[in-house]
Amino acid sequence: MNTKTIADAPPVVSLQEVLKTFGNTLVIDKVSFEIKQGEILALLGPSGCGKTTTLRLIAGFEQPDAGTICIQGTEAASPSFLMPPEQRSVGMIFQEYALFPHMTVVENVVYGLKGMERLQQKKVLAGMLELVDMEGYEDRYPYQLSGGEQQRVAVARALAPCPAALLLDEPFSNLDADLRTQMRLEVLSILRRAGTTAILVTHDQEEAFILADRVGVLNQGRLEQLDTPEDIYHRPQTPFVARFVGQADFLTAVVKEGQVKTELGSFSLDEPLPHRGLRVMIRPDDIDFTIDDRGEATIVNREFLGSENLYSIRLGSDEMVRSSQPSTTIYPIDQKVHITANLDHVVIFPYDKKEIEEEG
Amino acid sequence: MGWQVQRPPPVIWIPAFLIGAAVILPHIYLVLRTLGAGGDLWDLLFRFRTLQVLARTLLLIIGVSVVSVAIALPLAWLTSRTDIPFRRLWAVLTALPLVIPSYVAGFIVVAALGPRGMLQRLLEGPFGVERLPEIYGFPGALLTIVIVSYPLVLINLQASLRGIDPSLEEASRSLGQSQWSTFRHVILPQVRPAIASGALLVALYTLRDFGAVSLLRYETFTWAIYLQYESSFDRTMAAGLSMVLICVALAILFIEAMARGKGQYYRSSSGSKRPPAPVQLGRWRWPAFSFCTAVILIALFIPIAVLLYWLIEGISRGEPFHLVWGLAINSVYASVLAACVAVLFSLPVAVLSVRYPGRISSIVERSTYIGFGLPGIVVALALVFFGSHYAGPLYQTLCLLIFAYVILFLPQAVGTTRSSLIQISPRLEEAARSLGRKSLQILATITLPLIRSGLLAGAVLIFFSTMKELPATLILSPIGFKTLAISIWSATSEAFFTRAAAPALLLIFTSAVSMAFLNIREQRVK
Repeated sequence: MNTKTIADAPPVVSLQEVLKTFGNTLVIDKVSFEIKQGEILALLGPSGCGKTTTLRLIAGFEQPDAGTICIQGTEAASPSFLMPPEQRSVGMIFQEYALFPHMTVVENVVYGLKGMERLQQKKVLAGMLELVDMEGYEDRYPYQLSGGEQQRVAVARALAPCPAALLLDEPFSNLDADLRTQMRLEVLSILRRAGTTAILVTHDQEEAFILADRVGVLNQGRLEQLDTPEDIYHRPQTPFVARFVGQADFLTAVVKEGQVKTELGSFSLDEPLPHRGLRVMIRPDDIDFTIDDRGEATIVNREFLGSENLYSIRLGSDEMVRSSQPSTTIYPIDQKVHITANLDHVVIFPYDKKEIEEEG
Repeated sequence: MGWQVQRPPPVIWIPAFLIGAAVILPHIYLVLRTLGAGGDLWDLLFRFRTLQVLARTLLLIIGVSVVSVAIALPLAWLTSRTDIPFRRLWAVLTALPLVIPSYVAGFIVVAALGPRGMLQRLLEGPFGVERLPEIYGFPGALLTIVIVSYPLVLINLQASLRGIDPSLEEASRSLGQSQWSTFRHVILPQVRPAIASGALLVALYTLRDFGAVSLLRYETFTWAIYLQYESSFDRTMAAGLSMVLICVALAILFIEAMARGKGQYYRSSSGSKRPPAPVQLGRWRWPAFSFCTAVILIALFIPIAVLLYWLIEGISRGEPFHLVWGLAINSVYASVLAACVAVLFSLPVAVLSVRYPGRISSIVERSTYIGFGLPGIVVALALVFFGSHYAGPLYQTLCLLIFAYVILFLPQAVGTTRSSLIQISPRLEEAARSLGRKSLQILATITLPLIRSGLLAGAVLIFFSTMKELPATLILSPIGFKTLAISIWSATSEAFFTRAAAPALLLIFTSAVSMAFLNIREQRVK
C-alpha cells in the first residue's frame, strides 16, 4: 500500500486524552492517537503497560474514565457514554482466539452475519474461507483444528462482517516459534489484501516492526512514542523506547563549544541544545573493540546468542557498554580492550537524574 | 489483571435480585416475628424444656461425632494404607451406608430392634422373649445416625491419608521410629484437620437430621420443633426453638470454615505421586478383617436383610404394593419440578456472580446459599409463617413445597451452574458481542449451549436430593399429596413395617444411583 493514500484517508479510530483506572491504579494515562483507513498500527510494550486495556477500550469492553474514543467520526465512548460493543463495527481477535467450541468453522464464521440474506451470507463465507485459505474445513469443530488453522478461522470470523477496524490482542503468542513466523506473514498478507484497518497489541518488537505501518510504544499507561518502525528504532524519543526496541547503552556526555563529548569520542551538534548534561544512546552494533593490554576498558561478560557474541565492557569511568561481535572469535573475560565507537547513529537525551535513579 | 466490570444487563440482575429476595424474605420474616413475640419468647427460650432440648441435641451431636470418628479412623487407615485382604472392596463397601437416608435407617433400626420388630419376633418363638431393651431414645438415635454418617468422616480421612507424602513416613522410619510411633507422631497430626472437618460434617448432619430422631423419639431441636408445630396453634415456640437451632447451626458452620482454613495450612506439598508401600499387618490381618466385616454387617448387610425381611413379609401378607407406584410418581413429579425450577433460578444468580463480580452480586449469591446452613424443618416453618400471612392462595399448594425444595437445594444448583460457567472464557461472549450480537442472543447461542451438560448434572443432583427430602415435605405437602419419604416415615411411626419396606428399598436405590452419578462426574471433572 502506498503511503500517500494512507495519509489522505480520514481516521477510522481516534482516541483523545483517554484515561483509565482500575481501582487506584492508573492503567491508561491520557493516551491520544488516530488510525487511518487501511493502516496497521502496533501497540508495543511490556506486560502491564496498558496495551490490552487500550484495545478493550476501543472494542467497548471497558469505559474510559476521561477522554473520548471516536470510531468512524462518531463518538463511541466517553466517561458519560458507552456505545455497546455490538454496535461499534469493530472486530476483535483474541489471544486465545475464542472460537465457539460448539460450532463448526462455518457456524463460527457466519455468526456475525446475522440479518444478512442467506445467499449473501454464503457469498461472504466463501470469500472469507478463500481469503484465509481454509476451504474444505467447513464442518470441522475448533478442537479438530491446529493452532494456525484456528487462528485463520478467527481472522475470517472477525473480518466477515466487514468491520471498520480489526483489533488483534497478542494474536501470535499462543503459537510456537516456527508457526509464529509463518502466521505473521500470512495474517499480514490477509489484512493487506482485505485492506483492513488494524490495531495489533504485542510485547514483541520484532512482530510490531514486521507487521505495522506505525508503532506506538506504551510504558506504564503512557504512549511514549508513535512513529514508523524505522524511526522508533533509530530515533527513539525516550530512553525507555530506546531500551525496549533493542539493545541500548547510555553514556553521560557534556556539551562544550558545540561538541558533545563522551568517553568514546566527540561529535558535533546539528543545532544548539539548551542542556549542558546529556545522555547518549549507542547500540551494540556501533561499538567495536580491539585487544589492547594497555586499553582503558575491560571485558566483563560474554553472552553467546548464536549468530553473535554480545560482550559487556566496563569503561574506565565505570560506565558499561555492550558490543556485538561475530560468534566465531571468542575473547576472554577480563581482557583489556581499546574501544572504537561509530557515533553516527547515536541519539541524545537530556540528562534526567530522576529517570536514571528509577532505572536503578 | 482484573478487568473492570461492566454493569449487568437488566435481564440478568432483575431476576437474580428477585430470586435472592424471595429466598431470604421468609427467613427474615421468621426472625422478625420471633423477636416481635417479646417477653413471652424469652420466657419460652429459657424454659427448662428448651435447655433440655439443647442439652439433648448437644449430647447426640457429641456422641455421634465421637463414635463416627472412632469407627472411621481405623477403617480409613486399614482401607487406604495396609495390606488388609480385599482392601479395595472394603474401601467401597464401607462408604456405601452414606446412601441410606436417615429416616430409612431409622425405619430399619426400629423395624429390627423395636417392639414387634424383626429381632423380637425371631426370638419370641424359640425363647419366648416378649420385650427387648428399649431402643427408642438416645441409644437408637445414636446408632441410626452413626450408621449413615460415619462415611462422611471416612471419605474425608481416606482422601487425607492418600494425600500424605509417603516420604514423610519413610523419613520417620529411617530415623528409627516404630510403625506405631510413626502413625502417632507423623500421620495422625497430618490427618487431624480431616478428622476435625469430618466430625463437623457429622455434627451438622446430626443437628439437621429430622428423620432418625423423630422415628426414634429422641427430642432434639428438629423433632421438638415439629412436635410444637403440630400440637399448638401458637407457633411462636416452634419459631423460638428454630432460632436457637439456627444459632447452633451457624456456630458449627463457622467452626467448620475455620477448620477448613487450617486444613490448607497442613496440606503437604505434592512432591511425589509415588503410591506409598502398604503397611504389613502381619498377625493383625485377621482381627482387622473381622473389624471391617463387623462394621459392614451392622451398617450395610443387616439393614438390607431387615428391608428384605419386611418386604418378603409384606408380600406374603398381600401388602398392596401397587400403591407404591402412586407414591413414587408423586415423588418424581415434585422432584422434577424442583430440579427444573432450581436450575432455572440458578442461572441469573450464577451469571451475575461469575460475569459481574462485585459486592452486590456476592450478596445476591450468598443469600441463595441460605438453604445450605438451615435445616429443612426451619425453612419449612419459615414458609408456613410467611405463606399463611402473605401468600394465602399458595399456602398448602404444591407451589410452596417446590419453593421450599428450591430454597434447600438452590446452593447445589448455583454451585454446579457456577462451576460450568467459570470454565467458559468470557472472551467467547466478548467475541460474540464484537460480532454484533446482544446479551440475550449471546446467552441463547453461546453460553447456554456450552453449559448445558453442567445444568443437566445440577438438575439430576437436585432431583435425587429432593426425592430424599423429608421434613419440608412433611410440613408443606398439600393435603393428600403423599411421597415415598412421607410414607416411609408415617408407616414406621405407626409400626407398619411391611408397608415401609418397598418405598425404602426404592429410595435407597435412587440414592445409590445419585451417588454413583456424582462420583462419575467428579472423576470426569478431574
